[in-house]
Amino acid sequence: MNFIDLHVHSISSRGVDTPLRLAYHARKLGIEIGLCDGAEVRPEPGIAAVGVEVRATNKGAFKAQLKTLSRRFDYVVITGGDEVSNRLAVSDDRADILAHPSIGRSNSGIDPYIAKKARENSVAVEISLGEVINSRGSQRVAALRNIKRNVMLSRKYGFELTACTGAKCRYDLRAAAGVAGILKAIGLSGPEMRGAMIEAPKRIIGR
Amino acid sequence: MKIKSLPPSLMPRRRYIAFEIEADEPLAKDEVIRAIIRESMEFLGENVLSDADIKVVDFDEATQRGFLACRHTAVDEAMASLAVISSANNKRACAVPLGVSGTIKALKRKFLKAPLPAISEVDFELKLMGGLRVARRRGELMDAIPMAEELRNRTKDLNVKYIGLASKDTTSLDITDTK
Repeated sequence: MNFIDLHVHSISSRGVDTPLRLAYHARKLGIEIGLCDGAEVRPEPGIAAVGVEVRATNKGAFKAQLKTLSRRFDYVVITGGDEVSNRLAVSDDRADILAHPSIGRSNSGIDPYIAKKARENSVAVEISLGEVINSRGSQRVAALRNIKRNVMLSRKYGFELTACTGAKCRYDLRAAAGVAGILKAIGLSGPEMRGAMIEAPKRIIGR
Repeated sequence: MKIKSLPPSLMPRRRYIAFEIEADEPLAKDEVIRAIIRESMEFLGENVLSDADIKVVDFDEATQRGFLACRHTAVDEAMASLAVISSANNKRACAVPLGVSGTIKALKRKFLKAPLPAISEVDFELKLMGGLRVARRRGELMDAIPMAEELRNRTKDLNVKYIGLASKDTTSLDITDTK
């Protein structure tokens, strides 16, 4: 099984590695990455697409941002977390991914309204593998619980899920086999894994 | 009296998974084994781990490559255990799976024989991102220590020592040899 990870940061935004270095590690792992730094990157094997990550706090400003950025970049990732951001992110079909919807929350960040809107506007909800990999103990328990809840809601309301590492350095990238292992442990079926690892990312970047 | 071994029909079938550790500094065998066991126990739990029967068979400190054994039905669990490793002995690290095989002989032949480019210590500066002092080179890869405060803080937050570059990054840049 292959894997396209659409939430990776290079040194151009929050990461510590150059895009070429990340591309080298992606090739070594047998995956493709999407850099969401909001910066132009020259084409390189291993880099599937170039996107941008934005925060949605104000409706007017968010729509204006989306209008410009969706034309400039292959995809737009919206930073989720608080209720306003999560709702705004799924309210526009120019947004592509709602990233870490549960960060800083005691729940998964997705309610039936957000789930329905995500389906209507084809906004994929991120399975934040970075929150599982880089945490332990009760934090990891909470991250797993929130992912499982979003998987359950995805089955009920039919919105897409996309697996992302949220990598900020070369050590955060993961091979397809490892990601599949984690998703299987979480409880995703074979077709659901394929959807989250390949089909949803391919649809988002328009392949 | 020595306990008799099981007949072949009752022997559990094994799979062997080759992996390579990536970290800022080479890790000791003990550190790697402890990290794999701890992560598999924490992520899978004791009961699942007992079924999966994951064991680190060998690890070579020179190449930072090794392999583990698991039940043939538990390859996904073993892969997940490797994937959740984010540090070993508080040092940032990750385990890259190289391949799976049914015998140790085939595993070594297919995945553990490829030579690694040697790491060479270098010392030169790049006038890029507020200044980078390149400290190591391995094939087409370079590791550099940042001089800008913002990047230093970023590496500290992520618990990494070096900024990662590829040699192609330097082709259009100004390089100052400090040796």
